[in-house]
Amino acid sequence: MKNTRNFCIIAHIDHGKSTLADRLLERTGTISARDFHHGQILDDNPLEQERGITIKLHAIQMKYKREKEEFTLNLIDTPGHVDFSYEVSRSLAACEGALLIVDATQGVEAQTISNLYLAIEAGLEIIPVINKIDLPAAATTLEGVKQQVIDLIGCDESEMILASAKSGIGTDDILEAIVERIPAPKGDPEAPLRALIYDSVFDAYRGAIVYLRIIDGTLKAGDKIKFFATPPKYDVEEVGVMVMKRNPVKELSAGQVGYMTASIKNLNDTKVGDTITHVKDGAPEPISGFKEVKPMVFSGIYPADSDDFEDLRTALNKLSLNDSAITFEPETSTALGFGFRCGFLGLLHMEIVQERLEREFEQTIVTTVPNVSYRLIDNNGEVKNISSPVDMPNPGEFKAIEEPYIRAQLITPSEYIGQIMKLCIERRGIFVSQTYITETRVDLTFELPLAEVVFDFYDKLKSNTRGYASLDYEFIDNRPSDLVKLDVLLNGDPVDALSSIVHRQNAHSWGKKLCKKLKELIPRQMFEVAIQAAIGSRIVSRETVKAMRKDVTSKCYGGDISRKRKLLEKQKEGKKRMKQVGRVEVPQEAFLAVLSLDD
Amino acid sequence: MKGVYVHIPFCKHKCTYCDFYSLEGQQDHDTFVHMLCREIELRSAQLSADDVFDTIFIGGGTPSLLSAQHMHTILDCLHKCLNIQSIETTSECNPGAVTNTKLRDFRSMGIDRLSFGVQSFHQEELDVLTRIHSADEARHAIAHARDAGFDNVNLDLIFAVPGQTMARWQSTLEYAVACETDHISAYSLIFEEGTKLNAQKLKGLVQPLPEDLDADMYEYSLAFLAEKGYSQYEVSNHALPGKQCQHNLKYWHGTEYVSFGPSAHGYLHSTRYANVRSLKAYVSSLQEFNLPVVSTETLSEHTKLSEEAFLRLRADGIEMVSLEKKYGVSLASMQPWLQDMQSAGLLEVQDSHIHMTSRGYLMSNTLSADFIHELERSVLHG
Repeated sequence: MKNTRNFCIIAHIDHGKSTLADRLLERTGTISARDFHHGQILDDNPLEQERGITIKLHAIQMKYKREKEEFTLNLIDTPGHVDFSYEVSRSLAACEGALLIVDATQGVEAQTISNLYLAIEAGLEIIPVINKIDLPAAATTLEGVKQQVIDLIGCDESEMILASAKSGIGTDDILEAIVERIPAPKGDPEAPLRALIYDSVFDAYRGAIVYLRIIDGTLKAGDKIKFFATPPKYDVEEVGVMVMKRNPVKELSAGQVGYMTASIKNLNDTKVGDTITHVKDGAPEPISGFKEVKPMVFSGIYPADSDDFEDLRTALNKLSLNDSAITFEPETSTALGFGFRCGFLGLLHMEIVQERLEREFEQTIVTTVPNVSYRLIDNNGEVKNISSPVDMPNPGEFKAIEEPYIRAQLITPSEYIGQIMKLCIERRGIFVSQTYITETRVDLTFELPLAEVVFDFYDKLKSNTRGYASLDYEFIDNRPSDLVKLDVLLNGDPVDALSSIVHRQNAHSWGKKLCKKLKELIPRQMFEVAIQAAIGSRIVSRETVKAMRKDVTSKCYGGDISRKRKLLEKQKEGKKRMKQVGRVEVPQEAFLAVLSLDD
Repeated sequence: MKGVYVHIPFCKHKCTYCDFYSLEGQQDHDTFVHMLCREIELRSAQLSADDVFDTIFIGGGTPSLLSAQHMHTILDCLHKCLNIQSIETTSECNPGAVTNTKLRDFRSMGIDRLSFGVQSFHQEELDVLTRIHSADEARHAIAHARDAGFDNVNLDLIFAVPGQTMARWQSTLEYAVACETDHISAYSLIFEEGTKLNAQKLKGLVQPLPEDLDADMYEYSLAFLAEKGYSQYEVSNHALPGKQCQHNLKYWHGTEYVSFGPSAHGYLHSTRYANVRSLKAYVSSLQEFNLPVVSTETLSEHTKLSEEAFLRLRADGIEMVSLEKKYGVSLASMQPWLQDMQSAGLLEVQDSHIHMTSRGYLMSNTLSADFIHELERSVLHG
């Protein structure tokens, strides 16, 4: 155990996390240089590579030889988005140390900060690494960046490692620091088993592959195990470590990081943050910090072609095998037919699910505007949870409605305080506090309705602060709010999938913007289309799409009837991408129109 | 009864808007006619006693560029090889590529209907369209045809020509009617992909007319021609009583027709086929005694139904009961849609006969696509 080091890397996008990881793998001989032709190793999901973020966690074991001693280094990767902050906290809990990578030309950026704080909170040893020092621009920026890091974590300049992951500068120093500074894991191999699940993925042949860190005790094939958060019991089939691929071992014991399989059919049995122990002589208490991950954002997902409902169900079932955070249940919309109401951790998670459905599962889907879950107190005093605007009664038909509030921590360079204040106030935020972390860096705390944060708040925050501000938030409570349901009518017919729940004071301007946006998105048709927004029976705004005047191919191409038929078929295919609401054809983008409403 | 189409792929000059297959300038007519006759002979071997033909349409290209002798050879071969009981034999003509003598010769060899590519009576528009004939030649075309003994003459007209005004279009229509033409085909100019005109549009050298003016011109033609006694029987076609083009009606009613010549499209024994769109390839194929067919598609009953439905809808309308009977289907569940289209003023339904209104004709692509969509749903789901 004394020769084991468990660590993770905390870095902003493009600051060189994956390149550094590659260098470490190469230097420790875990992988040879010629195996790098497919690019970086850690981000193996194309979506992750595109977005420059890590969605799922991976772990890789390396052997580092120093003189006669050999060390086992376990690199545990972490995602870098607020939607996944709980998962980050769990993978940090599996480590004793973290490399903090900062770009020598960019300086400390916001995205790293909340993860860094999580790491400090978890008691991890932080090794600051200034990367890209060989870039020409670094000559002028390096000193300033060093100072930022010193201000941020209160370290000594001598503790910082100057590196260039690209050219390999500093790689040895980093490996030395990992061994020297990060403490070896503690834990008692003889104590009852306590293993922390920090991730699990689904394999079609093996069932769930559970990534874990043994805190106490040992785990081996054949053990009978159970979880604290879920009832099932399993027989362990295989334990092992990840060395580029799964590498079975006899046993894993206290301090080690590895995986386990046990023919677990349902990923929901293996919840991130839960503790595994033996059925017999198991640990009495789980590792602290487990939280049931609850979806915060909901939206409807429908097949573009109603005939594909069963395919979508199959796709969602498969997708949920390796994304235990998503929830879904059948839902019917008069506009969109049969579909599913899905719950997500946040907006990014929602986008990831949509893209995976389309790319991996080749589904053509229509997604409705996301919303949060509301608590409705009806006239009899009964409480109901509402996760779809459709379920919201008309004004007067309920006693009160409550919406979830969050405490948002925003860390920003001080010059953006004004913009952030403005944004939060516009979003019905309540100012709580303002603390200077360093001379130029401020921690702002607001209480905000979650509903206001799910609508492009993060994007607005990033664009208003040139990407420098970071956001972290936690749910605090549900609060009564003056909320109304805003309906959209097309030629007089309400379109349930376009309804939204909004604050009364915003309803009017919201309705106006929404109608205007829909007018841009709904193409001219054979007849006029009236777009109306309404609260109950009161129309708050109206736009009209004028009828198309002319759509005729005047000649029939002589006897070339096939050509004419193909043109019509193409036109018919175009209609398939539209949703029919009454006689009005609505393009799929329209159902997400609310998300792109500009001020 | 089936139709016969013959494609003559020659033009003095290729008009910039035209996307039919034709070659400019001096070409070897002898070889072409020789090979055309070979195609007719080869094809005739596949015909049975049931294949009887009653219309012939010589199109192009510019059929009037052929010598009377060549035209005679072609018609002679058709009558020898096919079972023809002709009620209508049409030839297309360019007002600038025909003489009185040739018209008389055509008439004497059995051609009884002429279709003139007049396009406009205004020189400005003829120039934009790069027509080889003058406005004067256009004006005299009908008189020459009458002199030669033709009592069934069509004028092709084009509107929505860049630079055209409503007033000029109105005067073109008035002139056509004043000539006492029997039939008018009035087409809205199409910027076809691959044409010179389309390239000019893409470069910004010519400006299409605004959609609203184009639509206004169309609606004006419908109203004006109806008032003058020309009844509309297809999106772009209008005829005096008894003067509808029997050959074109075959296309629009889903009737079969045999076709000859490069790029010609035929429909025979439930199969649509296309000939090669190259004179060179056409000739070399026939020199090897092979039919110059490059693609065939055998239509399912379902496709036939869809085709006939949209073709008839663009033309003189659909008799729902006979369509249901012919294909053994029920279209009852189309009723709500038909009713909506009626209230929207796009379709008219009289008893079981459905036809487009003038607004419907203007929207006929969307309307036809919707119609087949509804029809297919009705057939599939009852």
